[in-house]
Amino acid sequence: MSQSSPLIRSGYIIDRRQDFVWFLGLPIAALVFALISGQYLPGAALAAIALWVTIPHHFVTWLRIYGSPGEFARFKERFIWGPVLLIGFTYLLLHYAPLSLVLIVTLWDHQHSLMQQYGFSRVYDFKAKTGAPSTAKFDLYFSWIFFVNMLVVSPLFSTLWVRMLHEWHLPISTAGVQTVHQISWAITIVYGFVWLGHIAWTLRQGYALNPLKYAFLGVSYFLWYFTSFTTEYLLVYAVAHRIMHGVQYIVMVYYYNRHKVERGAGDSTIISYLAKPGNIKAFLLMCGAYALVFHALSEGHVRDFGFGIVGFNTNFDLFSYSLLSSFALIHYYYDAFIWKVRKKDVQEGL
Amino acid sequence: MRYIRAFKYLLVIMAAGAALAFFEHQRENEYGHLSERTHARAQPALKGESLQELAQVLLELYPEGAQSNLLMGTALAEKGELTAARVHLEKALAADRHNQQLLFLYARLLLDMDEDTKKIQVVVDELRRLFPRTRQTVEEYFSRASRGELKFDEGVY
Repeated sequence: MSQSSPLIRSGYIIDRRQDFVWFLGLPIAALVFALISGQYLPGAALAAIALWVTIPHHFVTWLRIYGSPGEFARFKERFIWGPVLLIGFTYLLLHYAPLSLVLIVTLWDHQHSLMQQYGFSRVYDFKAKTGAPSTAKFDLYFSWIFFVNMLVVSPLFSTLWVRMLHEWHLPISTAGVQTVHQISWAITIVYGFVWLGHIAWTLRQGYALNPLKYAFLGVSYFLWYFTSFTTEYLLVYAVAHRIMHGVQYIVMVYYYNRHKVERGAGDSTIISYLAKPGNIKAFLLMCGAYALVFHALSEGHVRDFGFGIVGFNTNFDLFSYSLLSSFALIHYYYDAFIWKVRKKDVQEGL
Repeated sequence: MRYIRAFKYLLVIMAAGAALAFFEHQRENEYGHLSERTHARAQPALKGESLQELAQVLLELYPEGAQSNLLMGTALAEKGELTAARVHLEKALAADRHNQQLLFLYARLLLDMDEDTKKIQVVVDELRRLFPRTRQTVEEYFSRASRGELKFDEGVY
């Protein structure tokens, strides 16, 4: 869906109304909710957000891949062996090198988060047919530099990475941290001007811009910067970020499946059923049911089904706990190759 | 060869994980700066001089910060400097009253300093209210540690 004008051309990921709700309004609503929950809700609120948003957003990845023979066939080996390797890998790291696991999960999670917003910004340009051929690269560098800068300089994340360095016995002095902050800000400010210059160059060359893309990037980065600079309470950042990230992802996959079915590219009975506009409740119920099953698995409650024989040792606790990280890693791994906007079969669902 | 190409990305991650694990063990064996995990879901944490060094750096960066004051309070409490630890923990509480570790440590410290039971009760009740999953463990712990002086009513929260 797009509106034509010489240099400014709006195009939407879904449609005008849905985009304003999910991609522009949601980050602000998530931020307000996180600030309120930080003030009034107990720490367990984070666990509830994880249960009702983060875990279902993994589920829609599994639904897209394992629910569709066509999608599954595209990377069959990876979809069979990937989970086996990652579950084993995570368990071993949690058992023998927990700091390494924390580092890998943290870094991959951040990369995954920034790449999702970057990917959606690519969809905005794809839908509106806007931007120069070089825009993708400039936006990618923007995403990396601005996100990494937030991680490096914000009080919330500075505390975390300085702490991690000390845990790895790679201590850094106060002056060292301040130098890193200054370098990061310098790179970010310089690149900010380069990025703006590229936008101006794009217009001068006669390529149109999609204002929705810039509004979307603006609210996303506002959420991240605002929470990481104004609160020391990780829950506030985590709640705001997870609502934005998880809900936008679920909306994206829902409409991706629906578009595929509507355009005759669907090949799955279950996805065709769930993608029907009247069946959104069934879709949400399945997400909720998956969250409950996963919660039982990762909390070790399944031991109650084991007749007292299975599940009563430390290794079982460790394995249950490791599922939280391993399923997250599987989700990051799949997302790294199933969402290439340039691929024809992905474009069918956009 | 086809499999190696298909799993190239994953293999790089796993190789990085293996290298990190090796490095982690080497650091821990050489410096012994981390405490043991107390249960399956706990992480190893800094202890002793390493903890105080980190706290010092963070305090210089963020003198009013909750984390920096919590870490310094923890390091000082570990060394038995309870009065100095209390100053930092109260600063941390002024910045963030939602930290489980902070509330627990502060309540424990007040108990060790023979503070008024009512004052301790307020902190423990806050801990119970904000972290309902660990409420029972907290109640058992503080009931035992206070020799029954701290009392917990069922269904208050």
